[in-house]
Amino acid sequence: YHKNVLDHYNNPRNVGTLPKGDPDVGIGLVGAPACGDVMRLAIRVNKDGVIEDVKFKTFGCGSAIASSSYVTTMVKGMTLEEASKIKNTQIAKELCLPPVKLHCSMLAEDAIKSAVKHYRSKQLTPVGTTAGAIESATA
Amino acid sequence: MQSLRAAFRRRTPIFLKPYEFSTNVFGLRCRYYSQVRHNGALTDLEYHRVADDTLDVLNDTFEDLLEEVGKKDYDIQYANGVITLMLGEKGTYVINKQPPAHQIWLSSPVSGPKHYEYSLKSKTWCSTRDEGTLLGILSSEFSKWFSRPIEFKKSEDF
Repeated sequence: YHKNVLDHYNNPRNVGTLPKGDPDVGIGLVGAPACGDVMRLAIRVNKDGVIEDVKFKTFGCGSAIASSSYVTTMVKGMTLEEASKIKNTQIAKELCLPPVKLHCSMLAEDAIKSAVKHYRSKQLTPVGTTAGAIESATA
Repeated sequence: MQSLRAAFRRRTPIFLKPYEFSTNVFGLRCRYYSQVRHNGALTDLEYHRVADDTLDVLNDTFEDLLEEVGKKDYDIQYANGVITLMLGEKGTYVINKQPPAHQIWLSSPVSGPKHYEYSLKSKTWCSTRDEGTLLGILSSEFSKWFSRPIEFKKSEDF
């Protein structure tokens, strides 16, 4: 592994979660338990559409953990627009992921996209019906 | 007697998953692939057959290509359902089985990571994200590498 992977793996940034009931929180839950990697990314968005706070929890290999940790450092301060444009290649490049681990960076990309999608769907539907949105975001 | 009973208890599976289980026949551990079909998808057995078939064909095609090109820093490894194709400075392809999801995963230095599911309708591996197929994307990328059309054909018994 590259030292950037090891760094993020040993000192993961922004670990934790945000209250999913809050109207300004979007949550992305991706991965398949059967494959072993599950990533849960929570974002808190302020009134200007900028991601104020971000937390992640990941079960998976070192690369998956490092990818999600790196993504959290990336998206903090980004607008939703910018965050949903993040590409897995950026993550893979920064962490120098080996070919077989590119899928981990893809998972991180999916996680942030799904979190943004969930946040947006929450803005459309009244609070309290968020459970369905989470399910559709992970489907 | 005690130890015999304990041994028997240990060897008797209590909970069996519907899709995969193992059993003991005279002390031999046997593992079965489920042949039960869920929602019209592949059974485990079918998945392994089709996936192995595909990887075998890809491996053969890659080996022929490498032989033809004859570069020293090009290499291919195929073991345990994983093909690793090293093309020197061009990068490395990894194609592997992902049995829990019934998928084949491709990691390409050109197009990045992709997941493929077998479609019983079209009898090909279709991408889970776009319209592409596994053989299709490999054909187009390799045709570009080698500047001539290269086709990955399905094996006869697909």
